[in-house]
Amino acid sequence: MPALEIRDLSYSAGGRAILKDVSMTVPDGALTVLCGPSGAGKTTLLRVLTGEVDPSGGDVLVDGVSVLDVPMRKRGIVLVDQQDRLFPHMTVRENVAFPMKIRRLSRAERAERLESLARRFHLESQMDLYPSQLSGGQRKLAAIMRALAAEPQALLLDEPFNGMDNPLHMEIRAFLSSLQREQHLTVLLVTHSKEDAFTLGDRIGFLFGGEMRLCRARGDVLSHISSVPDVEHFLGPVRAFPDGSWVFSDKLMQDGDVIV
Amino acid sequence: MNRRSMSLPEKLLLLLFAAALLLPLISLFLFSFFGSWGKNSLLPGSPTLSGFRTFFARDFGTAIRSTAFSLLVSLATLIISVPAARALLSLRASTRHRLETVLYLPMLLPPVSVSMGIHKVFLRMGLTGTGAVFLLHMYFALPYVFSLVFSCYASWGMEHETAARNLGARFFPAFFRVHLPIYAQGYKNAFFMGFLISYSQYFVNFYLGSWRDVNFAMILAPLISGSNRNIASVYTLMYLLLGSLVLLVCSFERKKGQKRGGTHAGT
Repeated sequence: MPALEIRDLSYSAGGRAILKDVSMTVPDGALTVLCGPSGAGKTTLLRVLTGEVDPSGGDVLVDGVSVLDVPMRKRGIVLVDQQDRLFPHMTVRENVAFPMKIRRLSRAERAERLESLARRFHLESQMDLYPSQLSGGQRKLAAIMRALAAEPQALLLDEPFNGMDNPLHMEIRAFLSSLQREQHLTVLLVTHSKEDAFTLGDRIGFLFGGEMRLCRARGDVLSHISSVPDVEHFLGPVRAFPDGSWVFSDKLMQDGDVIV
Repeated sequence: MNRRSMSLPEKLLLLLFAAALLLPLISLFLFSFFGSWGKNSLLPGSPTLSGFRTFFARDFGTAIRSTAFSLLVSLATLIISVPAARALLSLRASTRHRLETVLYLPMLLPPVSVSMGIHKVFLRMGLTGTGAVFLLHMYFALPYVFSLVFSCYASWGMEHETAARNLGARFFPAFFRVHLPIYAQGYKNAFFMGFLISYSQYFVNFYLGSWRDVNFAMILAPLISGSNRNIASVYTLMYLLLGSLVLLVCSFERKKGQKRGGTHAGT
C-alpha cells in the first residue's frame, strides 16, 4: 500500500486552475521526486498535501485513509520548505525539540533522540547556536532534522538544494539519499533539477502546468518518455552511467551512453 | 562586528539632532527646578520644588490614571488589530487593498468631523463618560496600531506559525511559543504607537467633555498656555517622563533574544 496517495487533486486560485486532477502515489519507504519547471504547481501541491490550503477537488490518502478533513497538525505529513522556517528565537536544539515537546515526549526521551539526530546529521557542535549563526547547508540540515523529530509518515522536501553551491549540493544530496535508505523514510521531494530527480528518485513524477504528465519508477521513465513530448523536451538527451547516475546533455559529460 | 567610524558631516548632523532634542529639555529642567529667571539675570533665581509639590499633591493620580488608561486603550487596540491583520493577510490582494483603505480612513479624516459624528451616535446610544472616550481613543489609535502589525505580517508572513502547526502544534502553542516571540518587537512597537496616540489626545477629550480624570493632556494644555513657567515645565517634564517610562518598558528585550540576531519583526 502506498504511504501517500494523491487522487485527482485540483486546486484553483483567483479563477485560475493551479492543479488539474493530479494523481500520484508515494510508496512507503521510498523517495519519490516530483520534477517540473518553475510555476508547474509543485509547491502548491505540497501545500495542499500538508493542509495549508484546501483543494477544490480530489483526495489525499495517508496509509489508505483520507486526510482531507484531518487538521494539518495531525496529518503526519511534514514539509521542509525552501526557506527552512527554523524558529529564529530558538537554538537548533530548541527547534528540534519543539515537535517532541508538542508530542509530550519525556525529557530523557527528548535528550536521547536529540543526541542521536545531532550525531546522524553531524550537527553536534551547532546544537546550541541560533539559526542566524548557521550556514545555509547547516540550516537546511537542521530543518530536516526538526522535521524528522516529528516522526512524520511522509516527509515533503521543497527544493532542498536551492541556493547551494555545487560541492555543498552534492554533499547534502548524498547525505539525504543515504539517510532516506537507512531509515526507510517516505519522502516526496520537489525539484526543478532533472539531475537531482534521476539521482535521488526511486520514482519520478513530472508536473507541467498543473498536470501530472508522467509518474513512474525511475527505471521505467525513459521507456515511456517518447509518449510524453513535454517531458521529452524538458529532459533533453539523457545519458546513463554504469554507476547508476544520470547526466543530461545540457550539462554534458564525456562518458556515458545516450539513451534518448 | 567592526563599526565604520562616522565622518565629520555625519558627526555634525548627529550633534545637531541631539542638540535639537536636548536643548528644549535643558530649558524644561531649568524652569522646573528654578521658579524664575529674570530677563536681565545671567543665572536663574533660587531653586524651588514647588512645581513638583503642586504636581504630586494635585495631579499625580490623574497622570497615573491617564497613563494606565492609554495603556489599556493601546492593549485593546492591539488585541483587535492582531486578528484583523491575520484575517486581512489571508484575503486576495484586491480585496485586501480595499479593506486596508477603509481601516486607514481614521488617519485621513479630520478628527473634528469624526468626533462630532461619533459624539452624536454615542449620545443616541447613551454612551457617555470614560467608556465613550475609551472607544474614541481606540478609533484614533487603531489605524496606526493596525498598520504596524500588518506591515510585520506583510513583510514576514505567517510561515513560522504554519511550520509549527505542521510540526504538530495546536493553534495556541503555535501562537504563543512561535509566533509571539518572533513578532514581539513588532507588537511592542505597535503597542507604543497606540499608547502615544491615546496619551496625546487632547481635542477628543476636550470635545467629548471634561474627562480630566483620565487625561493628563487635558490638564497639561491649559498650563502650557498659562503664565506659570515653573508649573508648566514640571507638568511637561512629568508628561514626558511617564511616556518615556512606557517606551523604556516597550524597548526591553530579554537577554536571550539579543543573542539570536535573526528575529526580524521589529518595524
